[in-house]
Amino acid sequence: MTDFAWLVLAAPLAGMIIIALGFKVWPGRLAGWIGTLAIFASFVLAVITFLKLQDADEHHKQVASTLFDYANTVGVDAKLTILVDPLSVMMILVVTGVSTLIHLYSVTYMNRDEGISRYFAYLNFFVFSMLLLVLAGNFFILIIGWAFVGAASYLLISFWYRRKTATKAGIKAFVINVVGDIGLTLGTFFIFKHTGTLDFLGTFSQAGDIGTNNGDLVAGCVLLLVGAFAKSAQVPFHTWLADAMEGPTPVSSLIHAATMVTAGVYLIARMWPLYEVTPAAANVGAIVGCATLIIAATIALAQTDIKRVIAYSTMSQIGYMIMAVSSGAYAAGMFHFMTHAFFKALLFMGAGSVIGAMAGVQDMNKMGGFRKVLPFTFITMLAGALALSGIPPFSGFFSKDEILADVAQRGGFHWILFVIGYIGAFITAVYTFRMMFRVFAGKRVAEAEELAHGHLAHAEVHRNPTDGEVEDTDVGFPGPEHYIAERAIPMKIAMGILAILATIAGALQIPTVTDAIHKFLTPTFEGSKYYESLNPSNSFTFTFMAVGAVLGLLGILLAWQIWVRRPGTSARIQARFQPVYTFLWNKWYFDELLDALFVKPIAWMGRFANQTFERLVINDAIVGGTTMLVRAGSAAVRAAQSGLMRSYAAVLVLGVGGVALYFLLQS
Amino acid sequence: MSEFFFFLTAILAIGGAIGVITLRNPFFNVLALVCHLIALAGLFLLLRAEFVAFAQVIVYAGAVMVLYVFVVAYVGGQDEPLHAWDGPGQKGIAALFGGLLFVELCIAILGTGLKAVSGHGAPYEAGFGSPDQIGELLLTRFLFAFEAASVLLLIAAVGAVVLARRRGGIHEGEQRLSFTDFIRPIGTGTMHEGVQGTTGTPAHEPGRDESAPSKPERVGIGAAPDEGVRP
Amino acid sequence: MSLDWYLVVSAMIFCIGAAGVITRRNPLVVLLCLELMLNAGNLALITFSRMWGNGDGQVFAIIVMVVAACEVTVGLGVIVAMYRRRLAIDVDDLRELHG
Repeated sequence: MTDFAWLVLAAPLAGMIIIALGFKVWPGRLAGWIGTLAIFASFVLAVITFLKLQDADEHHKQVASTLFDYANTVGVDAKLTILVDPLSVMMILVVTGVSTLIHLYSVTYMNRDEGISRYFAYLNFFVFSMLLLVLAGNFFILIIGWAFVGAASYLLISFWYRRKTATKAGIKAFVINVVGDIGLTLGTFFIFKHTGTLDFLGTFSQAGDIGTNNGDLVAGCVLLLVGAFAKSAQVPFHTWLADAMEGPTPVSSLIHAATMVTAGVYLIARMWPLYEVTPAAANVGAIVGCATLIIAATIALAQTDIKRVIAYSTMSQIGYMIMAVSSGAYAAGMFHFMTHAFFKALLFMGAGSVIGAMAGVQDMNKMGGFRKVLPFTFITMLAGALALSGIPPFSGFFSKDEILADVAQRGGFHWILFVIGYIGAFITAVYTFRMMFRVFAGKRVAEAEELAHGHLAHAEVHRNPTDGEVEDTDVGFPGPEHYIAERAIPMKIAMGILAILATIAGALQIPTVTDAIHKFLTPTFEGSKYYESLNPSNSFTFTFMAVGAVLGLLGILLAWQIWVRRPGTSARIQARFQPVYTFLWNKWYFDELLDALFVKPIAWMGRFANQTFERLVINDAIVGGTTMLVRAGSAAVRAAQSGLMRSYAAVLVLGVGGVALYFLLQS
Repeated sequence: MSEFFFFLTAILAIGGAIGVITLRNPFFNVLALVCHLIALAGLFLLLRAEFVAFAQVIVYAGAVMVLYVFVVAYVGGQDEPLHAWDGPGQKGIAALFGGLLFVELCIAILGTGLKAVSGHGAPYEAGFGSPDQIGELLLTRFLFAFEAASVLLLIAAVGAVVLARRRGGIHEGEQRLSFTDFIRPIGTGTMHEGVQGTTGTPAHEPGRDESAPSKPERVGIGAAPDEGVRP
Repeated sequence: MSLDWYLVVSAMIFCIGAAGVITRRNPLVVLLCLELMLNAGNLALITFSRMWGNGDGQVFAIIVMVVAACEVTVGLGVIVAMYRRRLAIDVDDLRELHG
């Protein structure tokens, strides 16, 4: 079983190496197919691992396998270990599955990009890193995988490196992720201090002996949360995610929707024994997740860039997951992670198709009326949007409602989170269908007309969708061609499969009917305080399922009223609530806040260090001072170095005399 | 009696030494040193070191000084021009240094723990300082030092030759002769030589020594050292 | 005649030699002054030899003479080479070492 898990890791790594080393040899499309095949192989191996895990007997469902000891000294046991258990297997299944489809989608989407080989090498590297992260059997490997996915994210966000906005976004993401890495590493130290082992299973077995809310452990868990927040784009570390939309659309789909950003959720779920003995840290996670879900949802209401809307929606949905796993609703959180991966990847793919039809334009203000000309995209995106809005029987409905019901079971302040969660669900439905209606309903724009006449719009001048800068289609820029799902079989396959999954995945866990995810994950969460006890009564469940469905439908109805029935309403609302709109348009001023709090002071410090401190203290005082001292000293000594041998001899005589005098005085 | 001889020789030795450092002409400096060495040999005799005394006279006052005289004659004793920094002050400093050192040494000799110095030393035994005693020491206890000294002498002799020999390429027109110059015919009669006008050994080359055409040209080995006029 | 007078004479000669090395600029004369210093050392060695009544000091003196001879040979060789290369025979003009 673990052998197959190792092979799951090896396949994308091999794919990356083959693509990277052979980029001059094979044409770009072949690189795409190689990459897709590698990930598909990984998926197949993951399925085999899953089957083997199902065959294993009840008490051997958590298997750690060590390839070799990396460093086993002074109490540190850094081994190359993977942990195969239901949680990690579920993660690798979703990651490899969704990645396969997105690779397939990318084969067409990036077809005419000059950097396609680089793209697929990065993408395979990302999948490898993500698998390393989720299969990690100890903190050491976890940190490595954590840093690797950050690096892959940076590489892919900055993929079109000739765009200044893209490189800036990449750097922003990387810096914020490094803050998270630091948090993760420090948290590991705090935990290691008490357990003395880096190994997960060893750590967890000792977690119960430490005592509730031990100060060090709380600090460690909060620091782990910092890592999780940075990776999962939770407030206040979320500002990079919207900027990360500078990367190619499949990248947004894979990294910034389906997989990497859920690493934080996985981390908290994986560390459940620690969080259950440190309720303080767990509460921090729950509150921050809740704050994020509502903040991101409101911001999404005001954004006009289609990809950014979906990005904020992602933040919001991950807020749900973080809230769930921090509140003890592990199975629900992981279930939502899975369904979200399906419908969010699908929505991004659909957005990519729409952007293709718009010849690279991402502004929703310029879109409209694509329903008839992009039928396939519309149908699949509709499935995704309904799932996101939580409309039965789509998958998002079940997972989201289970989260909220479980959170409510915790009682206490969790009721507040529960209420906010439902408000968030309503807003989610509104902004999702705002996007759908603005893109697909209404009057056909020029591009849609052109498509109706059977040819795809082409931009005369290629512009950067963010700042309108005119750009090239050479390497480092998007290629000259755009693709829509209607005309590309691979894109169609990928989106079709995801649409089906987004529609039916909820069947895995229908209350009182099926309980697959919960049952499957049981071995991982054996001994948890909340895992079995958070079991809402049937009446409660059905009541709030109905409430959720009604809220979702109401949200859709509201959106339909505002953007379809009476176009112009939105402008009136904008005018009426101008300050609120500005506030949301500027994303709650988080960027400015972080700028004022961290970036500006640190930049000022950097400038001070560079221009003042370095110039005066380092260059003038320390460097200049020492050189001046040496120079002055050498100038003084140089006078003695006259080259006159006679003076040397005189000094020699003096010295001999001095030494002799010393001995004289000694005796 | 021995006191008289001691003072005589000591005064001669010191006088010679002072002569060495004060006289202007290097030739006289050498002569003053010879005087000093002979007086020193007298002191050695007073100290019953016969062999060393005579070695001193023969080797030092004889051979080494002859070498000096040759070099002085070859190089020529120029008067030292006074440099700006070379006034009486500098001489004063030198005298001061010497004086201080002397005072210090005197304190060391007379005022400290060299108790064995006061007195007349060990009783005299027959054969002390004689060549056979020294020879026996040199070939038994100090054999290594003896051999090392011989090697040192060899190195010094070779080194002196290497240093002072005439180098090729220093002066224009100088030729380094190699063994083949002796066995090679004057010319091989090639057309090249005819065109060049070069026939024979390099010593025959026309255009040689254009810098000093007045010098009579000698051919072949043992050509006079080409010493330019000293600036 | 007490032996320390010999040592005093030796010290005096040594100091004269040292002063000469410091003052004279002709390398030939500097070499002569070095000879003076070595001979002062020799005198002290012979004196000590007399004092202890064994020949070690005398052998030492002979070795010093050998070394002095070698030094003179090489030194004079250097002076001749300098002369050949038309360098000034003056230690103050040999200032390649100056800083």
